Amino acid sequence: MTPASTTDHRLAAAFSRLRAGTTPGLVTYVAAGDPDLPRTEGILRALERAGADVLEIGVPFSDPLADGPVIQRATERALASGTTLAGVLDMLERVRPELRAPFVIFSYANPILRMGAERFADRAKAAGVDGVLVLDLPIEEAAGFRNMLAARRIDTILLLSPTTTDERLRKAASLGSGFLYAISRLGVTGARDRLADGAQEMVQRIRRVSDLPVALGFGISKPEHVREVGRWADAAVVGSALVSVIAEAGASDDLDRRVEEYVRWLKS
Amino acid sequence: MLQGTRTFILQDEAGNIELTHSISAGLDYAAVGPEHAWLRDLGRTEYGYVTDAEALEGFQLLARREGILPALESAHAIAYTHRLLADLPAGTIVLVNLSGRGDKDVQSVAEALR
Repeated sequence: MTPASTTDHRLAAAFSRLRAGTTPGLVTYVAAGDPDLPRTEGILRALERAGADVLEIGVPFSDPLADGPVIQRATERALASGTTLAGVLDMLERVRPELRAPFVIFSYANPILRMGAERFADRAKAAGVDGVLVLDLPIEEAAGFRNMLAARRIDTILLLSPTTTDERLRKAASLGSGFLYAISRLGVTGARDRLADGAQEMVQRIRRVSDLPVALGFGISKPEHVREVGRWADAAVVGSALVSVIAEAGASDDLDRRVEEYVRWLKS
Repeated sequence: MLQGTRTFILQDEAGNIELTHSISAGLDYAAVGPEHAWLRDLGRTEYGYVTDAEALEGFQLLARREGILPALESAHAIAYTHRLLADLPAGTIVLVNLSGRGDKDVQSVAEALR
């Protein structure tokens, strides 16, 4: 089955535009519902205005085992504001007509299983979601879900880490679509001053087995990082650092403006 | 699915994991082992429960009658069996799996009984 590779597909289009151009790609992650869902809508608009190439939308989960303290706290605020997977999908459906950037849902498996995978896939389709990354879905268990999404022309984004073997890289390359998400280092999410050693080598290792675009994340917070990653990967993913900007602005009136300024700076 | 295991879990409507409490650390978890999920699906097992207070009674019962300190986890089984016996004909042979020993639990039991 060839999922979602036609030109009207938003993820494929975003990455081919990036490959044709000279500016480094930027994938932005936000924790949906922090500080609340209506303000997440405003944040998504600000991200698109600032030139984010792909919008990754995190679904809050009580046990976010891959996330560091910054995203954990954002998750707690999002849960406290009553955010659920269903609410996030409704919000995306509302905001989709105004936005052109691809949406990637970033979720742990349990909220999706609770909703029912098939029902989730239908609702994601209705909400204009372009890709889904299930953080704790092992490659071995991914085929059924991936086919469910592919039937709706939604990409399955798979995570690769520095310890992923070449054999599993090949498996991920054949199952995944849209792009491959490489984790620059072992451990949880969080902004760092320096890019991880070996990140470039890891992306090269992925390039040898796959033509899919590669986005590199975990620990990226500055324009220097984004430019550096852009030299050898298709895009950099910025999560915790952006989530910190949102946390500092909180419910203040200049939340959207600060998000927009930060992302413009990242792309500078 | 919790911490890499797909099984029965305590969760809310949105799929968030519920907080748990048990006097026994080994039972203070929002999921059951996948073997139990499988046995339940096969219809080979029925599952019950006892309260913290009943488990403490089970602990003392076995300690006093047999001189054996059961783990607090196993004390749940002792307490449940004790309750079950009331409905069984005299002379019925019941097998209890004493899954662990209770010397690790004496401090928590002492505190709970104080």
